[in-house]
Amino acid sequence: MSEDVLKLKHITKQFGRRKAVDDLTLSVRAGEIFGFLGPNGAGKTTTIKMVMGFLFEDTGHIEIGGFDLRHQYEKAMAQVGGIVENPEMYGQFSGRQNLEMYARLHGLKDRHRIDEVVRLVGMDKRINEKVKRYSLGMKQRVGLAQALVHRPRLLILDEPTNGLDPDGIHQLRDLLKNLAHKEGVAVMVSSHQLAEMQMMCDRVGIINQGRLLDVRPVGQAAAGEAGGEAGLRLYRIELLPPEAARGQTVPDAQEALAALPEGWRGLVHAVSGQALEAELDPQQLQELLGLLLEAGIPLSQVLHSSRSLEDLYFSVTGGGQSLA
Amino acid sequence: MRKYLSLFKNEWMKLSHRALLVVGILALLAVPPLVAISLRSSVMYTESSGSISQTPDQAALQKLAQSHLDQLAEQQSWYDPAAEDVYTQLEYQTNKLAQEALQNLMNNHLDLAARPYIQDLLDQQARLQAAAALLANSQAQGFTESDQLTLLNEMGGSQAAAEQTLARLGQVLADGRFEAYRDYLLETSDTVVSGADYQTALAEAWAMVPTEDQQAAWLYDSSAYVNLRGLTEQYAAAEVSMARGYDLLNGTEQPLRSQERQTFQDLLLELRYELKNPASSVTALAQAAGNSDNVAKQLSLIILCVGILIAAGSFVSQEMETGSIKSLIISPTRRYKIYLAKLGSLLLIALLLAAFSWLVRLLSLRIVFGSLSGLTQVIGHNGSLHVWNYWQYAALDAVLGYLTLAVIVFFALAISTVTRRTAVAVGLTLGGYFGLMVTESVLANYGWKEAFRFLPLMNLDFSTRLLSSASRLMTLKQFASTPQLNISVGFSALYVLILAGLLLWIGLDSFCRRDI
Repeated sequence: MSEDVLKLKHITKQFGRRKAVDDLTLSVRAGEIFGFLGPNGAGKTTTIKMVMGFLFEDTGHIEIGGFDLRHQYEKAMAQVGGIVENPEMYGQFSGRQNLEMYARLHGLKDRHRIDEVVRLVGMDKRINEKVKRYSLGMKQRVGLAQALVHRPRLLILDEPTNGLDPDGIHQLRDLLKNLAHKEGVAVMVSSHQLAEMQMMCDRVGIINQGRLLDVRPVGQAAAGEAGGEAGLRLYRIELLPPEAARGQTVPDAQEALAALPEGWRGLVHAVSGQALEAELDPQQLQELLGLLLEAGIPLSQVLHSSRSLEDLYFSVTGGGQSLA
Repeated sequence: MRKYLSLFKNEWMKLSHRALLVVGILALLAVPPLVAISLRSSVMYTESSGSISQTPDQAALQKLAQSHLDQLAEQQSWYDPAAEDVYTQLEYQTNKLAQEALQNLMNNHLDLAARPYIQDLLDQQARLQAAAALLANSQAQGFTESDQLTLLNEMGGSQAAAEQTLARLGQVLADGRFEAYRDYLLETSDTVVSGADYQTALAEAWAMVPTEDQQAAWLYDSSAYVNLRGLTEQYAAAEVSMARGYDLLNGTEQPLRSQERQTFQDLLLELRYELKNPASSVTALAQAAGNSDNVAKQLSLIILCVGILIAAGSFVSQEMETGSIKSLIISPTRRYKIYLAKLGSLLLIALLLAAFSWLVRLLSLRIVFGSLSGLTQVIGHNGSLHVWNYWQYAALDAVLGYLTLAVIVFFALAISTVTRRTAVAVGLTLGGYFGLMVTESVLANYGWKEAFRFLPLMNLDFSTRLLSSASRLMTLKQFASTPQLNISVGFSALYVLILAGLLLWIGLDSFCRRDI
């Protein structure tokens, strides 16, 4: 069992009469990426800000790397790196100067470490330019370098993919996985990008109206809330769309469902005109695909459903209704 | 300590990258030489137009001063041993009335101070005339010589003494000396509003009491205040007058309070020094140099104050507004250390700027006006005479200017932290700074409200005092002690310390205990 790097115990924070965080208890382990999910105003950023020292908790107890945040502030904060909301730096200085200033506060004198993190985030060509000339994505990269420069045990990133291009998002995902799984850093990520979180996180916690509603491993979340049985995963089977059929008639999801033997119809359901979903183990998936192909149903692709985390999210938070 | 140094270095970097600072330094660099060149040109122009003489005839001035001293010696002959009894009585009356007049001056009730004095002398004259008439009558009635002598003794003196006294009084009244004195008092009563003016007026008034009306008339001449020769003559006259006035006061039943006596003694020390060292007297060129430095100092201080005020007023709030404070908060540093590092770097930059300003001012004076020896400062204090080089005097000034800057730093940083809005913080601090200056200036011009001149913040603001009409010596004396109002520099320093402590507490509390 990995060590808990971050422990929140019964944290409460109130703004006026509104409870932004209500009796929150959770932990983030070394070597895992923990996703922190919740709708706007749910209390994600408030929680992160309390962990990073911006806000003071009304009640409860925060422990980072075994140090109490209230009473051993400097030792606790020495374990943390992170970005809250947007990466804010001193625009009048270059990226490197910003990193040097931050490293100095951590008593870090190793200039090679700065070069190392700059290379790690892919900013080595423009690190000497003034920050005020950077795009949001570049600031995110330098912000990440800043968060990593002192080798923190706990990395906290609030919406880290904001402003990053697809390449950057991919690199970030790899980087975080590498940090967590190979270097044992505890990573806490807050984001609205559910698909991204699903690909990135090992565990997610869902918060709404200040209360932590659910915490579970992402594999388990992907299995759906009713599942959780070993080996079951939610698959999305997309049929050939009519526009790709070159004028021929193609069956839709309902017709495909009707073509399956009766025993399968309880497992498989149509989710749109041209897609089916089912919670299956790999063996069952193979059988289902064989049956569909035998029935002459042309298939387009099979996916692990990216909506499984979304489903969990909506079912837990009670959201997902149309905005209309 | 290493943490503090790291924080301090970061804050220093942020400050030193401000464009405003560069503009401020350029302004500080430009102001003193520009002012100096401007005033130096003015002196050259007046020299060439022949309206003033740059080099005074020192020998003539010495001679003139000596003649005033001779007059004093001549006045000693009033003390005729033959008329001692009568004269002693008159002297007592004179002393008493002079004391009353002086007391009136001290209370700023200057109007008609001399009237009872003159009235008493007139009464005395009438009595002596009556005595003489009585004597004549006794002779006419065939009194014996013995009876006449008895009568004269009862009158307090011999016939010769009575006649001499009568003659002397007649002369005193005839030459109009006391009328001149009275006129002078009436003339100055409207303008004497401040402690500094009061002391100046006192010195000048005394300059007229025992001297001839020609001298008094000469002193009325406004040119005496701007003419170099006149100034030295005034010193000479004041030297004589102060010595006599002081002796007179020493002999009274109600001596001056010790602090006032000390003030007189210190002023005498300064006057004696300047009289004996004519070279130290203000020359036209040195006067221009002094004026130049005063103006440069004022402008530099305003630039410094406004610059440091904006820097301090935005130092925390700007970080809050841009969000850059986050990278400080997330560092393993307690918030109070961050605040103290910010405060420390601001205080250091204020110190460096004050020193820089001082250096530029001195260099400008040296380059534009040449030697600074004519600007030597003579300061009597607690019975000792201090002769300061100008650079030392200017350094004291720079230190006092720095204290003002330090108070502004504490104030602006606290406001910046509490409001978290740069515009509000800078606006409030600027408003407070200029508001206080204006209020102080306005209130200080109303009688008893002169105390506002010594508001603790301004008490240490030496330059504000130099803006007044008082002379430099008087100004420095006020700085050293303010006997009229009993507010000492120590009190002001204590006040400023308490104020700074309070502002520090407000700023720290807001920075350390509030959410970000």
